[in-house]
Amino acid sequence: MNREIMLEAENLSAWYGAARILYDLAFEVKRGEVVALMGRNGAGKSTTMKAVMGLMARREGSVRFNGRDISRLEAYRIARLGLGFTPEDRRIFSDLTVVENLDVGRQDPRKFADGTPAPAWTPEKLFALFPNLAERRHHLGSQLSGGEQQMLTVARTLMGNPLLVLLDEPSEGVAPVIVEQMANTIVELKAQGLSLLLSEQNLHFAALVSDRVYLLEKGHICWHGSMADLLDNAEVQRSFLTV
Amino acid sequence: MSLNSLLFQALDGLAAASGLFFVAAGLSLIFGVTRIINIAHGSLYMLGTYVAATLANHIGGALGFWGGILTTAVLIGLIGAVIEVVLLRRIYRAPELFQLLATFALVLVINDATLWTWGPEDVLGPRAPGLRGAVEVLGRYLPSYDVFLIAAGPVVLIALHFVLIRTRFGRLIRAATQDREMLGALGVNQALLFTSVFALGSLLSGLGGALQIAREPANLLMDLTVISDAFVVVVVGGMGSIPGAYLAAVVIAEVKALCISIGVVTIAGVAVNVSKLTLVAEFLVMALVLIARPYGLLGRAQSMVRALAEPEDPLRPAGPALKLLGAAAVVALALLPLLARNSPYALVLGIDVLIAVLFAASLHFIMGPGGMHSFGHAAYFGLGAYAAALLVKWFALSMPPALIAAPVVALLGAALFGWFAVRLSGVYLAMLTLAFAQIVWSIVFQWSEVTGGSNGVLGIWPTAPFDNRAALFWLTAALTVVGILLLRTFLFAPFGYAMRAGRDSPLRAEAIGIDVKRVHWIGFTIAGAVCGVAGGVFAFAKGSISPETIDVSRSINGLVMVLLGGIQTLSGPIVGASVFALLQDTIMRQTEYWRALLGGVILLLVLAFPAGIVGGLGKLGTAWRRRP
Amino acid sequence: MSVLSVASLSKSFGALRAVNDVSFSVREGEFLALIGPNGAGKSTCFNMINGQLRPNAGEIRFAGRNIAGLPPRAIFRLGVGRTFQIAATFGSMTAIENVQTALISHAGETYRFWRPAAARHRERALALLNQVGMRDAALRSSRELAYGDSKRLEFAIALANEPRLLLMDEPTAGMAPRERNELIALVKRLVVERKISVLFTEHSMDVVFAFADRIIVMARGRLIADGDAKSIRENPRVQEVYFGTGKAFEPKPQSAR
Repeated sequence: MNREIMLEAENLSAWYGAARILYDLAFEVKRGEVVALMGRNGAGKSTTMKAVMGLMARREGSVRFNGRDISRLEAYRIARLGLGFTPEDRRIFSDLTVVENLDVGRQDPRKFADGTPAPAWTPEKLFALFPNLAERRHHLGSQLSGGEQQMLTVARTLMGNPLLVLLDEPSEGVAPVIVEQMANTIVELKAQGLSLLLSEQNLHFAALVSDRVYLLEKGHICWHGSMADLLDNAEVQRSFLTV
Repeated sequence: MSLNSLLFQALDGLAAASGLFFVAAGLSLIFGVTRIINIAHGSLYMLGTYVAATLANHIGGALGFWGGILTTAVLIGLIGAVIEVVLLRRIYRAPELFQLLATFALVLVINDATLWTWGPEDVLGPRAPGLRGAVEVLGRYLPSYDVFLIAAGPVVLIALHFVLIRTRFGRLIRAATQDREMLGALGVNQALLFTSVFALGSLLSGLGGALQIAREPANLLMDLTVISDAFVVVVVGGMGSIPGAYLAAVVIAEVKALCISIGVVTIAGVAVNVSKLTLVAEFLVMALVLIARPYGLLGRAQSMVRALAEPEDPLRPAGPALKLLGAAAVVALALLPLLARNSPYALVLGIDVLIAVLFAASLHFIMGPGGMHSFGHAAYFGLGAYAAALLVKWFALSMPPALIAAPVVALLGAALFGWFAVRLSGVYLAMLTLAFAQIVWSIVFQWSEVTGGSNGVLGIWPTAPFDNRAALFWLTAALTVVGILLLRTFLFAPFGYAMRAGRDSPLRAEAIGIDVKRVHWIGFTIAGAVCGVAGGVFAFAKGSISPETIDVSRSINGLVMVLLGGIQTLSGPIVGASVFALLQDTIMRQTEYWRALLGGVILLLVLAFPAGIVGGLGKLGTAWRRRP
Repeated sequence: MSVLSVASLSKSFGALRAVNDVSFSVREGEFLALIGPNGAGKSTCFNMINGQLRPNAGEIRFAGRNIAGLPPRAIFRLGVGRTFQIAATFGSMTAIENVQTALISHAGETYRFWRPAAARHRERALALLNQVGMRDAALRSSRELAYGDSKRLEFAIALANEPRLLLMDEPTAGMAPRERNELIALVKRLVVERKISVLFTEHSMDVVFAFADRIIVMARGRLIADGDAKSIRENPRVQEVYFGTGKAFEPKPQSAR
């Protein structure tokens, strides 16, 4: 199927201070696709996410989102174009209640380039998707369990009615039962027409949800292909994922 | 003293609390969102008083007074917005220390700008139209204007609370207080939010200042008095808590009012004028609160304090080259009086430079390896200087015992203040040390029977054998060299390792059995004692001292010296202090507006090297080596 | 014979009962894993044992003495070593200086002001670094070390006081699978040699099932299971609150392995 490209990076590079972390990355995410960025710790997965989102002090190269060049935009402008970001360390606002957290993420409904409306989220719809949060809507973020916080960070991003979500390490540091819920959520979001780019170390998890994979090694993309190809390729798994 | 008069003073205290609350609330809001401690916040308050008084006097009537106050608040808010956009926006990513320096530079510039505009005389405002009368309370007359002020505090408190809880703007402010970057990733324009919060905070401060015109005249000392009061309020109330700021403002204003109403009491036959002890009382309140609740009455532990400076490389013991250089410097110092026989000013300047070096080295000891960024190191300089001078004045001590007493008194002061300071870290510590230094300054200033007040102490001349320039120079040089070598030795000894360990990772240090607070407290005390030596020598070198010689700009000069030379190296403060002292000597002889000039230089440095001077030079070096 | 025994430990934050009447013990030489969902109270429990938090109620007995409420440094002195979830080392020091600082503290020499620290306990520090495979990096600045190496250095620091008990908070967090297994294998080997008991929290089930002698499980502040790998894996209550169906961490059947 020849679907439109939602996110496309070319020659993407980024630095932390003087240290170069990413080297001329090229990748794309099509509409309705779930793509996994995989690689060892420190390979540059989170940096890639931040570079796309405009959160790196220094980045170079081109990033196009939904037909627009976003490589020179500030993070808030990128977010307002419909690119959602959930960071690996969750970063919920712990002094705000669940409902207030959602309100901070609120943006107007938006449409895809072809005019079809993107899923428009309301707190009520999100509470249906994450029933645990519904019970705790007036609790402070700090009173939530780790798993609930993970749900809240995704829900907060969805309040911006994004076309594509960058999901950084959704399975890191949470209990297996939450990991499983995250997998179900991703599948559900995909069914609603969203695209997702997730960074992941856990092959079992990535295999459950992703269509395609890019493997990162020391800031370079060293392999890409379909998830099925990766699962068949023990050599690549051993070399780049150290499973 | 009757119960009625006590209650009456309490009402007066409430009126004073409102103004204090406005400043502290603004400071707290701005810090919460931008993470910048705006030292210039007190300057905006001062500006507010000057502008409002001028408007009220020139336009006159109710329009001039009330309209003037509102206009002033809006105007100060706009000035705040301009400061944010032009200056602060450029340095949000800079180390916090540089941000603090930048706002301090603003204090200097605004103070001189005010001096230039309004002159050195106080500016009196008119009485409030419509509120000139008084109401009878408890058999006394309370000015109607005070009643108005008493009500204004809670009204603003409730309004702010409503904005923070009920509006989206308020939710965004609270969210930004926790994680600004995430807010950006959720589509919120941080730049706009920051500017509006800065404007709001400045408006509050300007309003606080403007409302004071019917109570006190505008004067040039207000900026630092107000900011140190506001720091105390914020520390006592809890950073980031608006209700805490109000509560603390009330508590502190009430304690002051209580001191004033008690007046002179006789304790064990000695008459003590308690009304002169308001600053000591303020300090005691803060001390008690910090012991019971380290994060203030309504504050909470800060989850994360960002590193104030760049990480540093491991310290290496001096190599042969450095040892040779050090030896050469010592020889040069020994020979200078012989070489400079015909230019006596060289020795005068030389002594100034050496005192600055010892002062900066002692500050660097706690700032660099200790990670405690004291904004009030002048306190220990002043304690040393005044200890020596007062012993000479009152007990006719000769120079050697007076010079021994200087570090002892400074050590005691540093031990007392340090005990509280090490309980905090980062900007809290900076604020607390600045407040302590202001307290020392105020005691010296107010206790004129003993300290000579603003006139200071005169006629502290060196006694034999140091009663000639050359000998005094040699003595200063010897004390400076010994002081620096001592500090170096401590740093390479187990104690120095423990101090750096406590700075690098307090959690890890505690987990390997190091009592971080105690180690840092001892470090703070050592630095205070060494600084006291510098102060003692200073008193004899100048022959006279006044409160001005120990005011806050000396603390800040110390910071500039350390940063100029580079906080990461042990030789940094020596180089930085030498350069700075020579530079200051040149500038101060050129213009009466040297404060503004100094502020301008600091601002330029901060803007040119937002990553720090050393970092900036390092980058230039890297770029140079990489050139094709 | 137990090295650490925790009895009726409780801690509340406001209305939240983070740890609710928890009791367990660590036997001599045992490798005990504490697992559970996020927010179950693991960290709170851990931080009470290491002294960072003061319990509301309950006893923590180590080496026959109640250590509840003691500060971390006092607990260190009694012979408890510790590693952090995010490796904490002294960034401005070299690797060997990191270990020396711990050895100096252990020897009670922190308040010495004259003789250089660099000469103290040097051999012992090198030996410790050697044991964790870091001898060659002894003179490197610890903040320049790769993440896995920081973890090794931290382990050497934790061994400096010859501990009888090691507390390791998510020792393999943020590490790739192979590094994880290497690090835990190293820890296991050294603690068995030295008869050290270990209490650790961990989210990586591969690590837990491969190395833990025994596993205890917390959920919503309470201890809900205690047993060996097999019994924990098959415990329906644990499956419900923690493992789920297990599909997210068990290899899929079609996986290439």
